Amino acid sequence: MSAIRRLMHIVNPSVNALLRKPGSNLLNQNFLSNNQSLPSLTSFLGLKTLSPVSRAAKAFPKTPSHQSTVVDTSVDDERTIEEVISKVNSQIENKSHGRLFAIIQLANRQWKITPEDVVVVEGHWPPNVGDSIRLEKVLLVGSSDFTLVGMPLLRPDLVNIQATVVEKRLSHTKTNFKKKRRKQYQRINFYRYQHTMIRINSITLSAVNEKKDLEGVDGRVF
Amino acid sequence: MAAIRCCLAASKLLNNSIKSCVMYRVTRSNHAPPSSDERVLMLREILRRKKEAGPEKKYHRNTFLEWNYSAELYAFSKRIGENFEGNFLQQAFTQRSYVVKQETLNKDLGLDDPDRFLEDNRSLAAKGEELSRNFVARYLRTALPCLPEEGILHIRDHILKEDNIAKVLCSIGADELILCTDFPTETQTKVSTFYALVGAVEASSGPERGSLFVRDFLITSLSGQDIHALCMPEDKLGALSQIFLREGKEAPEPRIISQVGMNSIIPCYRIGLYSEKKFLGSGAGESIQDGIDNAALNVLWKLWDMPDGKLQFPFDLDVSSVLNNSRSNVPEAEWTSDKVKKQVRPSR
Amino acid sequence: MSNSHLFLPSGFPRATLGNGIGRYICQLKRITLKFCKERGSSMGMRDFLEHDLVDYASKHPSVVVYVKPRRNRSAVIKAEYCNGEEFWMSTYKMTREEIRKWLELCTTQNDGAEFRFRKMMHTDTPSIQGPWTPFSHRNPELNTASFPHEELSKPVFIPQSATDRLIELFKEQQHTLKSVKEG
Repeated sequence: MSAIRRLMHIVNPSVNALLRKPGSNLLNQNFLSNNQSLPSLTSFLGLKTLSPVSRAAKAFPKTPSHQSTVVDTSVDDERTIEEVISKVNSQIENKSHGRLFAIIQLANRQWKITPEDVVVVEGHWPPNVGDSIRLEKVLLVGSSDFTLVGMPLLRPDLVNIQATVVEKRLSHTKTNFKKKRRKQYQRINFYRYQHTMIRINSITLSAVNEKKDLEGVDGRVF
Repeated sequence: MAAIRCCLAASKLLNNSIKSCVMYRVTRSNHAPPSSDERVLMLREILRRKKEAGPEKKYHRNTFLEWNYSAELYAFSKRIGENFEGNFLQQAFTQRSYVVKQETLNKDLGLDDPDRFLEDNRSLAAKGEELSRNFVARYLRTALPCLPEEGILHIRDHILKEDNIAKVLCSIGADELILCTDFPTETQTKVSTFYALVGAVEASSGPERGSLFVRDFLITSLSGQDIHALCMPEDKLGALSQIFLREGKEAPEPRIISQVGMNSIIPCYRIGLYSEKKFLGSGAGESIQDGIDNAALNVLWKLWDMPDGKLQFPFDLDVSSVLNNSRSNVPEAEWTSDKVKKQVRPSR
Repeated sequence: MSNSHLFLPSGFPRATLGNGIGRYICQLKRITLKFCKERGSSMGMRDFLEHDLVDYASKHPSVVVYVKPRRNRSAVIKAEYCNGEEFWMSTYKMTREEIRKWLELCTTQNDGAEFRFRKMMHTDTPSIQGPWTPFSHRNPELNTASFPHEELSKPVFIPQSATDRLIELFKEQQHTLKSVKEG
């Protein structure tokens, strides 16, 4: 289980393609009945993770009713995990991952952002114009070769997202019209929300380390 | 009658056109407002006269009553966050044409006071242009270390285009502060004013601060623009083949990976490039030649470490490290991957 | 929810020329406060000018503040922005506090445009891993396959047939018999 808990989930199809045997159609596979035709993908990921492969397996279950030999792949799994993590870490150290995107939670909404984006936050939000902000609630960070998925959030020492507040304005006038027909009752309420525009400046990663077995709040404010 | 005259006056047509309103009934009391029919007729007439008179004449902001030039200059320096020493800021905004005009005016009035002499911005503009050209090229070389030198210079020329610089100047609110004889301000005037500002920052706070100014205004004008469109050689597959031949490998061969809709209006050919039977990259296009071109471009961009979609152009590089970077990139005619392997990735 | 009933232009969020990428520039260039020295509708404006104007001007040194008294005209704020757009607002009978708040809004706005945002976000690079194309997850076997192809033409999911179930039951039975024999 520790191998799976330490795992950083790989979702990119090109990586999947590397691990998949040639000529195999995922959905046509009989995953668990015949061990010889097990694709290396499931052996790498383990049976209980949320990979597309095992999701398919769960949808079309074929638990064998007779005894079958279960191959112990934990050593191979550990080795593959170490390889993948070191590859990810080397990309992070050399900064050769290229453009990163992140999914953040901001003002009760989730956004997929990348540097140089402009995000409009609706509603009362304290930060003033010109302020430099760090966005801490990061759910996922991805590049073209790897993705880091937080459960549910990524550690603050792993990813740093900086943004600048660029503008604070009011929305266009919105209306709330109420009417009860034939009762001579109608009301119209005009309102304008505050809009804050922020510009995402940078998303930086630091090396992926051992995941702690016990993780605290890390001084976060939720 | 008074109401109607008021409206016409408000439209500024009373100055140019006939003063008596011949179209409307004269026998009305002075205090009754025009009826809706009359208003419609009147508005139509106003519109017709407006169109006849042509577009409204534009005036410079300094013709308004509320204009304080020294306050505007001070506010401008605070807006861009720079401290200017002495008279550099004023000098940066003064064009030669304005100085000449003032001198002739003074001569006509008999004022030949040598202390009241205005300096124009030609020297500052020259220094600023030199700093900008140098810094932009160095910045691009640091940000894109694997791109051939011709590509770097092409992007630099794109950034330093007159229209681009004029747009940047207007966006920082400096075009109204220019002292010149031409109105509306010409692009060339705006360009020289921008360079003069760079020169003024350099003169006041040093070359590093001047370079920071160029980085924050000129280089950031690249954001939102397609950098890859500026790095497209004319003969794409040819350029790629030359690189491979120089490295002693086989020239890449195109092969169709898949094709769809050949008989339709928008066919799609996916072409892959292979060298020594190894896959290099692929591209898609509406014709086979387009597909080959796109595939060649994708491979070239991968070699030049700026893959499409993956490139994040850094806008926040450290200025002093950029200024220290004096080497030029490998020219296209000599480019190989080995020469470029030793390049250091830009530090943020 | 349609917006066709609104006589309002719509657009996408925009930030002038990379504002925020380099340094942040306050987009407000100058503000003109026009008021009347006598009329009651300008009272709030006059109070603002007396008490809060200097604070405002010192807090925002990048904004040029012009004060223009005009006889028999109501109080007005006119703001001019870096992209050339103007924001005009009447402050008729407004209190000093209201005027202070509206002035703060003028300062933090990028321009006076009022339009409906179509999306609450703007990005120049929507896709990093590459947008989906019909070729994204295609089985490579399809490239060299010629149809009709026995394996690829099979349905994606075939539920277990009665025959398959019988075979399964048979195997189970064989296994039970074998285990009974052995132990």
